[in-house]
Amino acid sequence: MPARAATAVFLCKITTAFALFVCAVAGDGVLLSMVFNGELGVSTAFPAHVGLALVAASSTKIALRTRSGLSVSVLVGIGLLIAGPPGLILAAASLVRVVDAAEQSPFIATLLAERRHEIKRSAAQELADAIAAGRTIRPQKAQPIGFHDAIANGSLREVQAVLGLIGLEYYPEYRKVLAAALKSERAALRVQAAAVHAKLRETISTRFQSCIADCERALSREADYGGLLPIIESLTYCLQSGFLDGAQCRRLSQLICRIDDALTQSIPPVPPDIERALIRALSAAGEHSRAVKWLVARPVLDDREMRELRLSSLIRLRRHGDLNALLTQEPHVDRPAATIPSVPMFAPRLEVAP
Amino acid sequence: MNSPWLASRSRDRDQGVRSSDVCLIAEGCYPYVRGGVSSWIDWLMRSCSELRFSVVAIVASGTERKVQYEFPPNLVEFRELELHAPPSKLQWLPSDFSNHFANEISTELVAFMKDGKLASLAELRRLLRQSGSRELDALLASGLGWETVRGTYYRLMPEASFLHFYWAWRALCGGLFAVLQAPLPNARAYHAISTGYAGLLAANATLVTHRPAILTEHGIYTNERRIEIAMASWIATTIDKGLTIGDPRLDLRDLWVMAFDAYARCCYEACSTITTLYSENQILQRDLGADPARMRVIANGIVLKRFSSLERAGPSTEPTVALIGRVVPIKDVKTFIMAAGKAREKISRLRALVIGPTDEDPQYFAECRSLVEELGLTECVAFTGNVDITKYLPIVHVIALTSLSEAQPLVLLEGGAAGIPCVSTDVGSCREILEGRPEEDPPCGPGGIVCPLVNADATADAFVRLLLDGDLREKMGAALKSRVQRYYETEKAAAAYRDLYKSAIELPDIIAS
Repeated sequence: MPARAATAVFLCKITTAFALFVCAVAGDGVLLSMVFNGELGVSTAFPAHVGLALVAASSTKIALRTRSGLSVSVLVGIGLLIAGPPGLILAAASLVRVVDAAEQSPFIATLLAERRHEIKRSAAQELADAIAAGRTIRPQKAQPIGFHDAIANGSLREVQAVLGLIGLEYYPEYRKVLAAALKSERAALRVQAAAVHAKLRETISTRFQSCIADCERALSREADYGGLLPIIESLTYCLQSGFLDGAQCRRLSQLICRIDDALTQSIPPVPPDIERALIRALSAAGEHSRAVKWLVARPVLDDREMRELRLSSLIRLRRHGDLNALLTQEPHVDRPAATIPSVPMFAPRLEVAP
Repeated sequence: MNSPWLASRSRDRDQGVRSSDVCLIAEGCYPYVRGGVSSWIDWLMRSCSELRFSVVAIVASGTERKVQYEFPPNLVEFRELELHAPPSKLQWLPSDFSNHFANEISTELVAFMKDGKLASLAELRRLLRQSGSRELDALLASGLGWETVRGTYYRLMPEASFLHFYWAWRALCGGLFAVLQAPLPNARAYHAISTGYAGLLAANATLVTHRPAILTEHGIYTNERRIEIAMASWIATTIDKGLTIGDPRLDLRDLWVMAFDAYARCCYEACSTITTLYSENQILQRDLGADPARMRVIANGIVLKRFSSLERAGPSTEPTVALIGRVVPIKDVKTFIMAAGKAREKISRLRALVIGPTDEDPQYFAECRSLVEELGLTECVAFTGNVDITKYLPIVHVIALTSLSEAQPLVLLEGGAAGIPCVSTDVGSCREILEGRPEEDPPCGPGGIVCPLVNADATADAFVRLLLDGDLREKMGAALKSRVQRYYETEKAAAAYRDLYKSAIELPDIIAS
């Protein structure tokens, strides 16, 4: 046999032996995983590994069919016995140690005991589960309803729920709903509406007083905008609430004008959120020329709400030229439908706009 | 109240006889609060002097109480029922029970809360007796109590906060269990003066004693509670329902409303007669299942001769308008003050009197006084405190009533008996008193002006109209006087109740079906 061919045969046999060795190691791995999964006990896994080593060694001997094949097969078997079983034994020993350690841990021990139903779960745990189960119940969602419709046509329970909502969280837009309930034909509703009204009147009266005090304090601190935003918003809320009389509204308007003066003269730039709040407050106070001044000076505030405020302020100021210019320049601007018909002179000009 | 006086007065009970003819059951009023329903109870007992009464006063525990009335001689027994045990007494008590038993109680409790059936109440009563808990604490702070609250929570409102539910349950069911376990005076008939816990106790009395129960509602208790609960900031919102009102998930407010509705339904079912002061109340009673065949209207009355002979304020007297009532938020004294301020712009000599006790809500009184100062009315508005109104009526031209809620205010009748016209909000039976019932024949004519609620402008306009127009004032005063004389005499009301009691006392024992 030429030397080249002999080398090739030798390499082929070595490759076969190596492949068998790898297969046996893979078998080791399978056994090991079965031990970890608890499907095979350690006492069964060890003889299985020895058997696997013997099978691998015999297979190598048969595959090589040479004199040297015997020594190679013995090497494969011993290799597997040394590399496989000690690994298996080490793994099994580690596993046993891990399980022992886990069972000594109170948390794991409880968990395992619960899984085996050996201990009863506490009432608090059962309750927590019940709450979690309850939270998962999702009945069909109810649709929001129009409060005006509810007052006019709703059942007593529905209207009482509406008035309850208004009493808990009031927005100036609800004023008309409350007024309708106060005039309701149903005595029970009138009584509840009156109770809501009285409660809100108290709340807003208290807020009015604190608003004035906070505002005076804020105005005494020059160029300090900290805390000014909630004060301006509170002033606007009180003004729009409909629960203050004329004198109280005038007092709030004066305060808003004083804030306006202070911010106009302010050297550091006024933050945009305060500017917006101030424009809203000035509009609510009926100080439209002051509002327009801010709106014209700060085109950066040009969003839908500010454009609407600018438009309505110009209408109220009867600055029809500026108004027409605005509409011609920005035909897409949203026109407040309720205010336009109140200025009849304006109607023919509107037609000019596309 | 375990005073020797009471011990001596309740001795008949131990001798196995009916110690009283009628047991009145009052919640949060007589004998600790003056005016309103308390005065009515005092009047009722004195008007039916031939009958012997016992009284059960249902009160919240841990509150300071002072008796405000001298007990009439025909009150033979007085008991207090405290509703809620203070949480500081809580301690976990061992109890033997099966989960099945706890389940049974919570199922029955949920059924009662949802339907308010008398049969459910009877079943609950049976189960509580079976539990062997002689004390309320033993029931509420025990394994059985815990299992019951869990079961109830899971059945009623599992989406809401359990912590909040627990305390609401403790308050509501604590009251319910207290009522079911309370010893009852031995009487021939039971008369609840409202629904709520008083009505529940009357319903329980029919189950225990088999004697008939009567209900008289001045205002509609459930409606008042519903209004209060809807706006109460002390009740947490634990489910965010947004602006929807038809969301089927129950939250704490729904639980409170549901409980009081159930108590009312049960009381309506148990009572043989359901009376109220005016017909509009009956709509709400019918809504909660009251049987129309058992419903009656018995209006309150006054002693006419006490007021009819009083002198009238003449044109030379300073124009005076008076609000007669306690200085409390429900009377909306602030609207009266604001209206006086507005009327004074047209009548510079105007005098506005607030005649009534000021000590019930000191904070509200302080707010009213500061409003008077704020509006610059210190020379115009005066608070007289608790005085004899017959001394003030001769200087009053117009009686005002700005209340947010009323049943049948006696002040309108008293002013009317003296021939003084009234300006009143459209609450309770005020319109009926001032404008007459539709069937009034011949019609007496308007006895005053009815105004919208919380409307200082309209109230001020009415003051000005009546104060500046002497003829109109005279005409309306005479009309009101004639109506009061015709329909609202105290003896007529007393006779109606005497008849009612007579027929209830003569009824044989009710056999439980």
